[in-house]
Amino acid sequence: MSAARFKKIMEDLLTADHLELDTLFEQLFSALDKGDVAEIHQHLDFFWARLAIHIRAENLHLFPFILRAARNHRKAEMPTLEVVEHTILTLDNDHSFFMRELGAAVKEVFEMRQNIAQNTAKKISQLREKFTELRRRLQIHNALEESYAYRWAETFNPAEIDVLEPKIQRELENLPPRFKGN
Amino acid sequence: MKAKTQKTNLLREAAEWRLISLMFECPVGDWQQNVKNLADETDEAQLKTAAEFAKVEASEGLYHSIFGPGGPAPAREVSYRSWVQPGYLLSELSAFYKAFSYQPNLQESPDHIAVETGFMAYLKLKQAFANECGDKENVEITAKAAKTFNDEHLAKFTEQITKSLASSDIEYLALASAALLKRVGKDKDKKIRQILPVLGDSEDSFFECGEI
Repeated sequence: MSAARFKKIMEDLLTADHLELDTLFEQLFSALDKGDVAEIHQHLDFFWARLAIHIRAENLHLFPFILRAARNHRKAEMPTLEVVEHTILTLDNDHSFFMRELGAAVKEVFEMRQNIAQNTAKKISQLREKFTELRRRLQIHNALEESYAYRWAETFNPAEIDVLEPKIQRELENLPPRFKGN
Repeated sequence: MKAKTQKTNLLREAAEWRLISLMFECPVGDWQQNVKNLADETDEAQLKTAAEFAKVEASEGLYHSIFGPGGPAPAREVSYRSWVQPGYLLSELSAFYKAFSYQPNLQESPDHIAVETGFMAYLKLKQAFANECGDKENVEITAKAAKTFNDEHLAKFTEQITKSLASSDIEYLALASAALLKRVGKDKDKKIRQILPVLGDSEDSFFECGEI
């Protein structure tokens, strides 16, 4: 019962968030096509903020719960502790990569907005290359989470789910104030 | 005996400021080991607990998700001081750092919280050194500079950043910023600033024309 309940929670919250993030990424690429720096900045800023809250929900709440479960009461559906730790580390490294690269891109686009001058087309082309690589890695990353990490979370007991669900929910709704109207 | 205690206190204070500063740096490279080493130098429970949480919580991705551009807790003083020209603020900070030969080994702006708190650690260390040399004048100069810098810069945004981090669920940052606020205190000019440009009832309630 708890497995089915948590499966639904994971699908409704985090898997659905992956889909929303992918749609936002698509909108960012459309803005790149138009070449309007202000629009690129707006979409990138929002995508960055949305991905940041998704990452905080996982790093602060989901991952520690998975690691604790793997250490304290690992169930048969879960692999060895070593595999769980290695997977979480890989996912965390990806999060660092996404935040570092996107943060640098936000700064870059902000500077482009301040200094509307030469090389805008070239810079947008470089951004597109960067985002294409980032999106490819994000898709692999999301597949890894949905196939493994979220599945392991389905082995939590009901008490753990009661604690975890509102924490994830709250984190996903915790957008910076400037986006509250979006 | 008194001088020795003062020296020990100053060195401990310097280590604590440096630990706080480190907590606001991106956790990469030797960061974890440095946090551990500095946490060993303090007896303050809040900072020790922050260091313990940092062991399990700190990660580069999480750090950028909080302090990155447009993140929920901006790490730069300029983000909290919209009424101050950024260029003026940065130049004032650079002048402060230059006057005391402070050259932070960080790829951050001079108004980043890690750089500013690092400067306070540096001043405490300088004060301890002057004290050890019996150089009273420099002890006073560094103490006065630390107070001025604290009141004119750190106090202007520490309370707000502490409030943001308190609700971030990141324990080590919430504790580190609370420890920082305890040292820095609240902005004493906040009330004056809030009522500015409205004139008081009793004085200066009208503009008098000067003589031609």
